[in-house]
Amino acid sequence: MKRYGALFLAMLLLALTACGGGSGAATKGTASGQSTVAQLMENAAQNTPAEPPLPSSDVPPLPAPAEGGAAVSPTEVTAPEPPEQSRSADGVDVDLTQMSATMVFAEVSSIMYMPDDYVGKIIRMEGTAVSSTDPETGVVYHAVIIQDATACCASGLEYLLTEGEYPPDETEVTVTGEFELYAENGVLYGRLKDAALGA
Amino acid sequence: MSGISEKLSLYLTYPFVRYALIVGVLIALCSSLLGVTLVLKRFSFIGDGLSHVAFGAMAVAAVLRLTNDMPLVLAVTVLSAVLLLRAGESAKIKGDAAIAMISVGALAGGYLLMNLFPTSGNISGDVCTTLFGSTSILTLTPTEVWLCIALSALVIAAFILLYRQIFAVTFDESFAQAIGVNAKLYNLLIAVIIAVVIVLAMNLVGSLLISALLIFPALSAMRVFKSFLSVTLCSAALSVCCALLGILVSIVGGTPVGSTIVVADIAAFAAFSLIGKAGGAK
Repeated sequence: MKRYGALFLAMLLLALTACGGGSGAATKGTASGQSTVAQLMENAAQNTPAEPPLPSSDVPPLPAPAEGGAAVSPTEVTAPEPPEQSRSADGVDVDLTQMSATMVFAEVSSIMYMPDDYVGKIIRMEGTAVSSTDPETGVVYHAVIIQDATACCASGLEYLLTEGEYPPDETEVTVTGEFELYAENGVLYGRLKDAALGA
Repeated sequence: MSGISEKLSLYLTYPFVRYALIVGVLIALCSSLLGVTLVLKRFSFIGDGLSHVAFGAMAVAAVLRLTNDMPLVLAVTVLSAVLLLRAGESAKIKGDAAIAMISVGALAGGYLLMNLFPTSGNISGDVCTTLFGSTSILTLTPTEVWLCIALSALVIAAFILLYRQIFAVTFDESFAQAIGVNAKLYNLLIAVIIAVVIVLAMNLVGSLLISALLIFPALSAMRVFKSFLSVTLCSAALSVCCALLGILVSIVGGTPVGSTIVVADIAAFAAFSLIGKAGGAK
């Protein structure tokens, strides 16, 4: 029976060696989402340059950053053909307002980590409006923050209104728009373009 | 009722929900198998201690900005498990005192590191996610799911292959040694498996609630059954059912996943206690 023990230890070591490709879910999963959102909220409070939510590591090639770190104008990334969608009668593909708090947070995390799957989809979301201004460029970023079920973590998504005024910070809003990826200063972000307020 | 089933059907079309169910079931199964041994060896609190060690290791990995913290967390937890299980044999600080010392030490050290070297602007969020699991189980990537499946398969295979030895070591180490079982080696294996289960379970319920996954199914099964095999089988079935129920209720009701699973385990314990009292243990 000793050989079973030795065999198990060998298999376990093999499995541990193979761990390299993965990543720990507990820190990876929501923590990154929190950091971007928290950063946005912190930036809003401190009036420092904001980093819009939704960085992605699995994205199309990006334009090189401008020399000297100067800001470049946002570049829309050419998206692949939108995936087949099961669009609802009102034209919404992902309706976060109809989901439970747990599902909303998980779906927003999914958007953050697999943004390519959502490009071109119409997303409707509900949450707290926040904004932040980049003092260097003067660009104001607007996002909706969504709390998770434990109320200790948050995810957020930037949006661009087609028309009308942006809501004041800390108000509850419903936003519907088309998800897109865009590059800014060599970093890829996601947001809802052509967005509209209200259900 | 049809609204709930419609909602559930819709949610089940999401890949991350299916991943959560697969991983949740596997983790619940693994933890319940080991839980019986832990309860019988009076090591119930070791899961709690090791989960705090894992939290500390995770904090170190975050400070070091490791993109993949699993190897470090697993290595530290395995090492601590071995040290804790062997502490009772020779160390000056024995049993529960050693567990309490390592547990609070790792918890405090981890929290201190996260505050001194914050890796994000939301420390309380990071801590909350690690301690209570939050929605970690619903944010797994396919790679992590496969890793969980592989490690779970190893744990289950080890338990099945070494069932007789684990049984012998669990009940009477001296007797096991007398009949030729290398008790030290199997204690070491049990420690390694416990550490693997704890690191896996951190995704499901977070580090503070892992003990519930290890202990409640075993204790519930012991209210009704008495043989090692029947308790193990009942514990496994019960743990899987509670995990499934907890995950489904949490995604439909919007409650935190980890604590919902633990509440399901507590309800099952209450039900099995009543059944045990009413029918008498078999």
